[in-house]
Amino acid sequence: MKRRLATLVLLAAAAAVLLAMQRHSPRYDELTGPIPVSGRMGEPVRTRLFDARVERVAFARQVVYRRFGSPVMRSTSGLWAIVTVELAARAKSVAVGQAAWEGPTGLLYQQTDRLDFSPGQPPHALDPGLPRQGRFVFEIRPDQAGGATLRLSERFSPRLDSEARIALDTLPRNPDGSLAIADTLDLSAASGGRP
Amino acid sequence: MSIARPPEDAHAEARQGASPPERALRDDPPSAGERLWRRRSLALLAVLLPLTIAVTAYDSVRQWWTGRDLFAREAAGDAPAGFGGLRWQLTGLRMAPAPAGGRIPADAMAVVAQFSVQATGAQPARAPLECVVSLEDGEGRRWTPTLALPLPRASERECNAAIRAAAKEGGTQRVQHAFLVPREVAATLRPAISLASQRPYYLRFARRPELVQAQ
Repeated sequence: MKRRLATLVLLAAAAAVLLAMQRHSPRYDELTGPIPVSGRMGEPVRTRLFDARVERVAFARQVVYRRFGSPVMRSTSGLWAIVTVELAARAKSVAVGQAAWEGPTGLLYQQTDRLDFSPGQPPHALDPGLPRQGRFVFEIRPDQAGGATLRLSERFSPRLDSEARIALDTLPRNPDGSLAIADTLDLSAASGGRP
Repeated sequence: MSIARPPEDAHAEARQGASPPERALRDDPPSAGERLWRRRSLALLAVLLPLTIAVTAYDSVRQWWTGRDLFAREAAGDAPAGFGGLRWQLTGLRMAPAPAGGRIPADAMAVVAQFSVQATGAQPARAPLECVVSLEDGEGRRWTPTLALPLPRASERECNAAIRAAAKEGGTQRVQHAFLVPREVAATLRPAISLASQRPYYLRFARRPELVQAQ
């Protein structure tokens, strides 16, 4: 009797374990998805192909740049977020073309496509031993500015390859602690987006 | 009422204390033939398991093996060398400091590599698709052509266009590519040609860039 009871308990336990495995097994696209490499602003984050260090973040209500010699202005009902990153290739030349702004609630903003023919647009071509600045521009909702993360990779949704996830934890602030938002930011300036 | 003991139960004496239902649950000791098959199955598992892994991983391993430049075939600096059914010759390798600004970072050296390529008539086993010209240093770092240094219009083409023209039109085609490299390592770099059909082998020339005055 005891042996049968033990067998039944064992079977029930095995069924429970199998059910849990079935429910919680990661899907294929999760198993083969990006491998996150986390870091913070100001510190280098080393991915397989490149190193990235976020230098600064700037916010603006509108951005201006020159296209074919003529000034272009882009406004937004949200916020422009401009992230300046120092990028360096590691063992081979690489182009870093994919960036996304992940807000505190998980909203994911890809780079804006409203700045056609503006200077310094990705992909940023990198050669080993020649670090350079890269700029990534996002159009975000104001409530997604604080507590955000920058996702950076060579290509969209890397498979089994590293993706930098850098916490944007040093944002520009006014003396009263509120977020510093410039009225206008000139993207043509060589400073890489400094307001 | 007594339960009849099976005649083949040789270990019955050892189980004197066991009740009849418990006895029924226990396995009989394996016979000699069964033990032999168990050993054979175990031995077969040792063969089948690695074989299964090898079969399922074959494609991945092959892609890894043929997707990398692992072994260099050395070529003299200025002599023609056969590679991938084509005859390659390094005709120029010059460098000059690149002024910083725009898409050119500070402390960069511009290097221009020129080759001539012609079909040898020998049909390669696979079409030499995807040609990549690069510069490599002693540590295995690689620089591929840059678009930040626009080259003047000339008879030279980029590598893929040149090898297609060499295969189709024949004659000698010229290849030219520009690179941006750090100044401190520029003089140590060696040009290399990689063809998808020849990997893991690639062609590397024994010649260093020559410094010239920028025009």
